[in-house]
Amino acid sequence: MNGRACEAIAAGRAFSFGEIDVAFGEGRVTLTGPRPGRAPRTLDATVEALRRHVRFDDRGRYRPLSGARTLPGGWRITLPARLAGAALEAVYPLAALHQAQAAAGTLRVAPFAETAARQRGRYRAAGELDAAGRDLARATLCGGCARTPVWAGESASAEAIPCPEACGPLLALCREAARWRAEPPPPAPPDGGVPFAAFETPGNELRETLLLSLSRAPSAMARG
Amino acid sequence: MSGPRRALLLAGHGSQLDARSGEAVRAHARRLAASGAFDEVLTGFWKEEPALARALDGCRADDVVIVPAFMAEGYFVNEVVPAELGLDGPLTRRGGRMLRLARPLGAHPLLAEAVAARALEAGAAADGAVFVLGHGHPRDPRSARAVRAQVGRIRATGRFARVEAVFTDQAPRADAIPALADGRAATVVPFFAAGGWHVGRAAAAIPANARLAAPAGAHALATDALAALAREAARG
Repeated sequence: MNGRACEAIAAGRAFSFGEIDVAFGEGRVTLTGPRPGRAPRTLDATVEALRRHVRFDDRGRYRPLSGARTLPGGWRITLPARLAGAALEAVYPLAALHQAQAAAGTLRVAPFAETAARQRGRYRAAGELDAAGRDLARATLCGGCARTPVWAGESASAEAIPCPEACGPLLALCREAARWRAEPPPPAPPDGGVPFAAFETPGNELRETLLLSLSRAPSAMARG
Repeated sequence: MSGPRRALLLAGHGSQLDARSGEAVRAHARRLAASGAFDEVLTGFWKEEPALARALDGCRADDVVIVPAFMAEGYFVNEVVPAELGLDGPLTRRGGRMLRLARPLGAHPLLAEAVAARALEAGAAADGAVFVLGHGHPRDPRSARAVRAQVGRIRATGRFARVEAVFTDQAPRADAIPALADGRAATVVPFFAAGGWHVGRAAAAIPANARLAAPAGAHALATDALAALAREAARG
């Protein structure tokens, strides 16, 4: 398969991917998380142990967005080299595949309107957010993500992880922002204890960041 | 010469708020992958990664069976899963590939066995009352249908003195359990695909003296049910 990550794995060559570093030696692959320090914790040598470890950030909060630059720090894992692809998949699902498809020109990219049109129930409101609000929501969420939103027209380098479609957390954030446009809630102090994607909860860090951005950029409709 | 490559996709709900929500589906997928019955076993979630809409991005199979790991033949199975995967109905032909949509997990008779097993694990006795706690929907009768069907199957075994359906979102609700139990020890089995928000809410609603079992949809028997549903859909 094409793509820098797949090529590096095939060649047994060290590379960085999102927030992790990958190195090979003596038939084994070692993945190192961010902020390893002098003595990073060694995880149990299974892909499942890795997957479970990266589900939570340093504060113990659930990470529903795999690309969020909130990977827990100070760990490493060593596995048989044949499991390198599975290990990447455990940290960043579909990312190596999408990188390879982008390199081959076969990546299926879905514009926001297509993804929004597919939504049902209360998620339909995500498509009602004005373009300026949507750009602010994207900047708020995608700005802290290791994936590059090519669905929004951004170009991704060969080393980047392309994101071909607006993700569930972004749709949820847009849904809330559409409501906030109509009736802005009062701001609250950001609270790192609020779950990452609890956008309905005052104090959620992404909510408060986006509310501030929206207050500074009224919608075209609001401006009259 | 080998035949067409066959894949199984387990379509789950997942959650952006609760890490437990997708774990049962992943455990089913690991067991089914180990069985070797399919060339590929994939997972896709509505509210988790990998997203349903992208779950087949790397799939190389010609023939894909999609089994919804949902308990009712309702909104998710009939609207969300087909919309996310671009399905035309039970059978979709796209780009030389067959996509077969199976019945949902909660429809299979093995789930009655899973409920009974969960009740026994939690300590239910033959003279006790077992309550199968489903989601339900006040405006969509399809949501409760699978729960009632499984209740009928468990009753028919005569294994427990009383078996009743209760729901989180329609009557009868969990607050009816004391009256329905009629003095018998009550065991509540969540008829959900996984632990998570719904089961947590259910736990908060049941009477303090009732036993709460683990969700039926996360039982190993549910893995067998998923495999059976996949075989059923593959036969067409």
